Amino acid sequence: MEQSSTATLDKKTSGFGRLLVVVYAVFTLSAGARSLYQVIRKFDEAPLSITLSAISALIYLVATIALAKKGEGAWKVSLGAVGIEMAGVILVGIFSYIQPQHFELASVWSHFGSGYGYIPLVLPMVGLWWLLNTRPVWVNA
Amino acid sequence: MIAGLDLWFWACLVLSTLSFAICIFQFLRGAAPDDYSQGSVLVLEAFLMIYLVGSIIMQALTDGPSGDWLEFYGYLITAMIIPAGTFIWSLTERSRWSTLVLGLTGPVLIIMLHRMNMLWYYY
Repeated sequence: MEQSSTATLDKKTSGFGRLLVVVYAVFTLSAGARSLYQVIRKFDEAPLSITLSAISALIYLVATIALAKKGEGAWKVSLGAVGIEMAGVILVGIFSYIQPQHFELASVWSHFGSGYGYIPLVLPMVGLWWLLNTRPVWVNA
Repeated sequence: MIAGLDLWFWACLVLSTLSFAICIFQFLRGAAPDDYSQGSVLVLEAFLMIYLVGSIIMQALTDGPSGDWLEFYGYLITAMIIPAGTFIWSLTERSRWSTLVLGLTGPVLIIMLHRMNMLWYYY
């Protein structure tokens, strides 16, 4: 089963998918570096936004690796990670507007990623579109 | 200082825009990474190395960044990983998409150096 679906699964990691992996890698790097800095220097100022920054960096990391890997499992993990990312950016975006006192320091997802040119909002949409377009063919279905 | 940003930023803007234009042109031609696209990214990496040395000299001669020095150098080190990463990527993946990946380096660096200028002069 794993073998027979390999050909279709390769689509996820080729062409445009490669570009997506790089964009996710850049976000992992920038969100990761930023949250590392915030944890070291500013954790007491805004524990909630900093914790969220660290979580978002972790989700970007999982998504980057899963998007780059081939196979059925990787596709499912990608969908999970990008789905959580989509939900996260929307929830954090909404809460940062209605409860600004909890978001003194900007995180990647606060205000729908306005500090990053709204790319954090668009990225999971593109990611989900790509994943659903490269959905593996279930041999037993 | 032009428009509140220093010459490091403007030099980066010129080099990054050139690199972006070269890579997009090569991508649209359907070219795999070549001396032009890869070379332009190596120029960016070289620029960042000079910027690092320059920043350390500026740090020694002046009061250093008005913002947090750790954040400034954190940005600089992170920025230096990006052209290195896209260049290594372009060595392993020989397709036109890789040329587009190289092209992303410039815009990312412009944004990062803008933020670093803010940290150095205004925070």
